[in-house]
Amino acid sequence: MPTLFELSGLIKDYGVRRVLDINNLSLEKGGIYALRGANGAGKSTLLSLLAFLETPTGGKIIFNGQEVNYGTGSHLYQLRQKVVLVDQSPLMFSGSVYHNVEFGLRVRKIGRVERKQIVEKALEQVGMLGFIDHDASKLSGGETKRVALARGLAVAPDVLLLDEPAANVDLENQRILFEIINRINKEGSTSIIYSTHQFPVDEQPAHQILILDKGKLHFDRRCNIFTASVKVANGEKSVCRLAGCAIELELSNTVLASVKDTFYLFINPEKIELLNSTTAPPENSFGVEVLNLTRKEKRVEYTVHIGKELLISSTYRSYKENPVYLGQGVMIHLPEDAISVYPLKHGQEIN
Amino acid sequence: MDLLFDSVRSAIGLLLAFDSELVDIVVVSLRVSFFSTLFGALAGVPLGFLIAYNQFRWKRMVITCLNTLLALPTVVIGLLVYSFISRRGVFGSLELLYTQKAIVIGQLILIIPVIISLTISAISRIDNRYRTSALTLGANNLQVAWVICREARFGIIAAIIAAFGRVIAEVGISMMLGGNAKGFTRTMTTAMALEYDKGEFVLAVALGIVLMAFAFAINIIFNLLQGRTNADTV
Repeated sequence: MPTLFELSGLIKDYGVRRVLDINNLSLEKGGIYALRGANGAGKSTLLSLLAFLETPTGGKIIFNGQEVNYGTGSHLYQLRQKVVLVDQSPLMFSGSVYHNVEFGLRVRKIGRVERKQIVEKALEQVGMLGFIDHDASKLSGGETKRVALARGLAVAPDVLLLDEPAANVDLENQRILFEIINRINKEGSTSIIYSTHQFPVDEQPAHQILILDKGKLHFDRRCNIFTASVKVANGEKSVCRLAGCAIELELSNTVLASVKDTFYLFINPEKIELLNSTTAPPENSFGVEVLNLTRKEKRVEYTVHIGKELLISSTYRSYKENPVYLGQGVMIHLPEDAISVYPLKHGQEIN
Repeated sequence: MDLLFDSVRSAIGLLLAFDSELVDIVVVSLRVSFFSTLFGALAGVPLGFLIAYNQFRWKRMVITCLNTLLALPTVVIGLLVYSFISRRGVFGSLELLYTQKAIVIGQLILIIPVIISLTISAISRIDNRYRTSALTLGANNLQVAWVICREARFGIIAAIIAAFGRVIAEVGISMMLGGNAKGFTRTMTTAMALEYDKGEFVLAVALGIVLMAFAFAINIIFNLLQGRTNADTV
């Protein structure tokens, strides 16, 4: 697959606060990417940068093989013709649903007859054709999101960016929205990148999941996410069992304060430590076998088996200092700062 | 009180009879105010938009200066313009003094800060997502500006109406730069001042009624427009 976006050394600061700091990221054409992270993780900022609506403080973005030149308004204008961002809480322009959906076509100087056909098709795609003459300001939250999606689809962008499409929308509308996203991607060649603060579950399509935490991209695979439950709670620490895994973790109750008995557990692959066999292993250390080894730019990724695959990411320098080979048994340590827990919604267990 | 009631009764008689002098005065007033407001809006709305929309170093200072100019007395403007267009002034050769054009120039200086300030206020209240939505849908800068102005239209219309109200009711500029020449530069307010000086209240009261009727009508139209929009969005 050809590369759509290439980000390198991308930084975005608001005043003294660094909200985004991504070393390297490549996104392929035609893919669906779920961008996950807590509130304030930098998801919306990243989407705004990908939509060419904001200028990065540092680093560069290459789109379709061409470096983005932020000094030229006409260059950005040309790029924006190909990428559409649908806001988390989209605003409708004053007027009818038709007026809203045709906006992008009017600015592209598309004729009235063709415009009408495209608007109707876009509204049909999102199941809102019956609302075509309605006042856009009278729509419900879910309907507004669908019309905003149609407004983006009408201009047939190469890339559709969706900021929290599932936020403030009931489950039924969430399901419809993700069905639409899946269909758009399958029917056309539109690449889709959407952000979510929830864990992407089966009905949420994603070829790849990107996790942002405090502006940093931690890993780019659907891995290291487990369903966990408290097995024994005693004193200041609790023993937690990871579903389908052969290991149990001892976590302090402060880490577990935000969750109930069963929850999601994410292990940051960059913070997993490979221990030297001569040192005495601390708690939450396990002997595992290296199944896979991949070099990625300045990092090396290992896959080990703990009942499920666990990804470990270390710098190339540390790999050189302490080389590991395929099939080798190693001792790993999962420190508490590598572990994040998230509340689990009913029916979202990862098996 | 008899004086007032008698004046009102006679004034209504003048209005119903379409007194030619009264009609002339009203027409001059409306013509001057219309052109002042038109040119003021053409200059003030884009300037207000540019100041509100763009970020620049002295923005706060510019807004503070504009707000200060809102309190500019009409006689000061009259004096200033007089110094430029009187025979000894820089533009004396243009022979603008005591013409309707001179009144329009003075009134422009009066209302442009009003329109700019109120436009800045109207544009600043518009959610930034309108801008980003228009941009991401492929709009160029001019189209984005149009979207924002469209969403701020009621605030902008209110600015223009406030400016019209200011010029139709002012007396200092019209008197000093127009000269209150009957049939040429006599406006409703200068005529009222003159009639008062003469102790003739009937025409003054009639003009007062017309002035208030215009202000009332404009406000009713604006409220109807706003009311319809509010009702639509409830």
